[in-house]
Amino acid sequence: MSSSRPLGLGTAVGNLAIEPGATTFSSISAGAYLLTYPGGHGAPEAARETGSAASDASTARGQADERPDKSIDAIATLKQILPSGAHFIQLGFWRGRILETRGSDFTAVLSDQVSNAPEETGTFQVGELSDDDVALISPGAEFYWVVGYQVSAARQRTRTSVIRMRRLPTYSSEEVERANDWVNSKSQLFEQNGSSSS
Amino acid sequence: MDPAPLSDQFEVSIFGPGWGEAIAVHVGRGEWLLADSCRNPDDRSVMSVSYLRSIGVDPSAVKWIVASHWDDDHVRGLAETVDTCAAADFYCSSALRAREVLTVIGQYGRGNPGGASELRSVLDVLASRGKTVHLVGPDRLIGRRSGSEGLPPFEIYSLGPSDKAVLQAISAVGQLAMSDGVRRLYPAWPAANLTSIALLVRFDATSIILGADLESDEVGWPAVLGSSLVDSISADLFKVPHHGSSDAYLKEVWEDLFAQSPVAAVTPYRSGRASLPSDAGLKKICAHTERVWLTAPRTRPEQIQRDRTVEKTIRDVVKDLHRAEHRAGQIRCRWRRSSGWEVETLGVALSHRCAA
Repeated sequence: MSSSRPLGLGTAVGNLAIEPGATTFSSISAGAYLLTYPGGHGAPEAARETGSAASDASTARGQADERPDKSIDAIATLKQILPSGAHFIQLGFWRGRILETRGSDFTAVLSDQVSNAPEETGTFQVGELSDDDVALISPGAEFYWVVGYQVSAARQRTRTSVIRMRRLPTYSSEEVERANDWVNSKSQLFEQNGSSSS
Repeated sequence: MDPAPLSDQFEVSIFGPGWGEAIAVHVGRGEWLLADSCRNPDDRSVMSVSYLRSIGVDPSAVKWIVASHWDDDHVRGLAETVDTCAAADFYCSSALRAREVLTVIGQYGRGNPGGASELRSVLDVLASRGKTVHLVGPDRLIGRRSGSEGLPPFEIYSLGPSDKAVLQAISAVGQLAMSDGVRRLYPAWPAANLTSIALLVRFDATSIILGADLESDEVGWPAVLGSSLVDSISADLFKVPHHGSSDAYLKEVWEDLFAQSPVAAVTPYRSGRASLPSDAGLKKICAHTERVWLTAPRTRPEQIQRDRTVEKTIRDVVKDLHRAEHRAGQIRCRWRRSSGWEVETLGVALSHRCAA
């Protein structure tokens, strides 16, 4: 379950799918499962990623080694509970990779998934994450971060921030084998002795 | 168009956008060496290659490309560099040949962050060209020219990595190697600085040392000081190692390998809380020379302008949010026997004023 941090009044409950749309503002209704692909790559495979650990794994297993630069970047489904009739307006959407952890903070490099803005670094408090996600905090771990308005059926807006750690799959034996094949294919690339060239 | 260096002119250009560094060296007769790679944060171009083009130099003039090591801040755009400079020979640490290291590179797919995936692309480019990876250990001759036809002689040597450093690095990298059931993470490359290739370039009557990220622990600079290559050296330009970090400082390096008041070029680094060089680090450098230049300011890079509502929302959640990279800077040093070093700053590069 995702952590939701209402920044104003109100509490977020209900089903929510976050759409990393090509435009700055995206509106998503309760219960919707929408995915768009700013990079335009890999949509059929990516559409199977739902944000659950299992489906994240099914997507990543097939693509982790060879996926194009932008395809996986454009994927996010961050679920939370929205009340019936509510929807979410996305204001910003980033992919983060944790650089370091220190006490109750972690520092990450952030890639904007909506615009071509340069990478940023920032420091988050661990308390922004759900208990389940806190266990996944580690250097090298990735997460998605979305901010926006949760809009209730009565049209009341609540500014909301959601951080969800990516549930990347463990390595499979097939991947290990594929990596070994890649290593073997490169063995002829290296000079056989370290003699000087001039 | 900015003029290229003269045929008999030595040039060392150091690039740094605040998160990365690259170096271009002209050794005369239009021949260039590129060490490491970084991208201009404004247009994502490979800085060293763009620079060569800006002064009218075709990338085919690059004869050597050296990957000093494979930290993210040294290899961004390296695969494009290798692809563009098709005539160049590629040199990197002998640690790369270790199966443990190659396995980790193999498991980092394209599009994943970190230097390993860039290096994987480099190897794929080289393989597609049928080229060879030249492996570098300590004291290896990479290139040379005897003085002829009015051109000064030059020699390019590696200074490290030591065998001991390579073994330590391989062991550390091996911890990351994939195995069935292990969680997938993309952390920074471990112990990469251990495999750093510092370079010694002798040109005519001058010498320079490009310090990469070589650190001062026993397998780093102390090992270099024990090399016969540097027995009687008196270099007068130093690409200061590891962004001016104190962990790469060794007083004996400055005292034993350099002339008085050498040109010191520092590439600042900022990532998360890490910010180099520190005031203390700069003070140490200034103890040896007052001729200090930085490729970018040490101030925090500017913030990205965005909608006020978005800004307010994210400021409630994240602290110290700023661009990862400064705008790009270049320190250009050109040398002729008659005039010595002339240093120019381009972009956001600047001269550092050492306190009296």
